[in-house]
Amino acid sequence: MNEKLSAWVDGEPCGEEGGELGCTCGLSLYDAMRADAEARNDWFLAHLIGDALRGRPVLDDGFSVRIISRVDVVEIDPAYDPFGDEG
Amino acid sequence: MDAPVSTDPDLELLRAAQSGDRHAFNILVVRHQRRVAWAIAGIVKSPQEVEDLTQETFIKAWRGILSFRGDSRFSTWLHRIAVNTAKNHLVSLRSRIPQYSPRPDSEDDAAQPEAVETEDPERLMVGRQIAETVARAMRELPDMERSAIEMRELEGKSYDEIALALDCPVGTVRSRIFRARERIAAALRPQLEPYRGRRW
Repeated sequence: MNEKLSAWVDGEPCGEEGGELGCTCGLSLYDAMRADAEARNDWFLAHLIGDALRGRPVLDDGFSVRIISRVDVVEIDPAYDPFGDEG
Repeated sequence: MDAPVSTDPDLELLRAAQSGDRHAFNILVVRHQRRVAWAIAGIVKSPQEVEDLTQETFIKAWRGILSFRGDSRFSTWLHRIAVNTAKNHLVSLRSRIPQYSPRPDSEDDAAQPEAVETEDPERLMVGRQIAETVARAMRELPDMERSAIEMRELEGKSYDEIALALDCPVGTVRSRIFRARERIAAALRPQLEPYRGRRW
């Protein structure tokens, strides 16, 4: 695990210079995670630790993959209201 | 009042997603999926329903991403969609008249109140062991690291708030939380090795 990934797990700037939020690394870090199995494992571990501390259910690590594959076949709809009754 | 959008850590990814960048939205999914699932798990109990409704929440968010105006943080907006989706699901369950069906349609499988899943015993046992290992590792952490990760994970404080509470720079908070996670992860890794690559 590295410090940058740990900060990113928390939705915090990684400490690098640049950008209004002091952090512009989000995309590149995700790219790194996609290419690096150890980084993905560390990402999972960091969330698992948080889950365990809060005593919440442990979700499996394929969860986000399944969400993304479902979202992948949907298009943005400029007229759509996500708070409407129809999904 | 929510924090202004200018301090939203998701702002850049959100702008990219609103311009149609699916990759940016996928990062937001990875970042927020657990919090969304927890919010839904507070309303419905079946793990399968939680997963289905989490997926539905993100589908709604992506489809309606242009309706997000930045009046609140993206995470707050997503949380509202999740709660709304779960509550609507419960309403639809309650309005349904229970009826025997030898061939239920797949859309409604998860909506059968009697079809609530039970947790896999092995999964429960592993979860308990993980919790014990994490608790033990927490007790062995240096005080300053334990305080920092407790404030983050249990109290939900931002790094700025933790820095203020511990009277130290934000960079020190970032380092302490990272070191705490790394120590706990080191204790967990051997325990998780048999499950590496498995979905559980």
